[in-house]
Amino acid sequence: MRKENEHISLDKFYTEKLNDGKLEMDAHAAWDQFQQIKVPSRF
Amino acid sequence: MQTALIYQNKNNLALVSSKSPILAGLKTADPEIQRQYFIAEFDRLIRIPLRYVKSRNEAITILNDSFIKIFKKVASLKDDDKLKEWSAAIVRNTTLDHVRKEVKYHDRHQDLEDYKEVYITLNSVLQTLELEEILKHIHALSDKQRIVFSMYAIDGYKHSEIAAYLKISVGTSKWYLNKARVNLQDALKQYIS
Repeated sequence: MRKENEHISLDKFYTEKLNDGKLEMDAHAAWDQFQQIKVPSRF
Repeated sequence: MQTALIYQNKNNLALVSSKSPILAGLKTADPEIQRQYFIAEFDRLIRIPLRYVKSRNEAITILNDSFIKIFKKVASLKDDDKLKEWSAAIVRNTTLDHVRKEVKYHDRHQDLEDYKEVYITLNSVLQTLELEEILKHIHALSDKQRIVFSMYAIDGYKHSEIAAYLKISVGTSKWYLNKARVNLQDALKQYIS
């Protein structure tokens, strides 16, 4: 966590938030969806 | 036990980084290892298409295409230590190929100098701003602004590389970056009293 009143570039602010913020997406559900499109012979 | 280990480490991805049994399992196309790897890396890799496209379904489609490439090509990966960077590069390239097809640029041929970087002062609200709110700001940009901003500010491409990739001039790339920065700065003003 950065200090309050710290100066930071706008680019860096968005980069940190996009890389480190908590994402509300379900990896297990995504895997189930992936399985539906997966063609075994491709791998 | 590979399963226990990867679930314990799914946030720091330590086991996916180098010479792990995970990589060996991926190279032999072990279905259970593929499942573990997908789940462990999903959070890190979905963020790449999410900042380029507005729709979550579209981002997932791009990520699925990327994972198919990863699983198909991983056996040829020569440097085991590069798995993390290599997989991110595949997702990034798949994403850029996707958005390049979708978004047509009209080159403005503007001869712009580099704009100075924009700085903000963090307050308690900005400090605690959630990712979902940040994504709203990114998705509110025009497609062209969002793509150039993401390529330059987040993925570290140079203007010359962006210009070559999108078939626009360097000045046009700078123009879109500047527009994106102005709009994002405006989006943050609501949190600054």
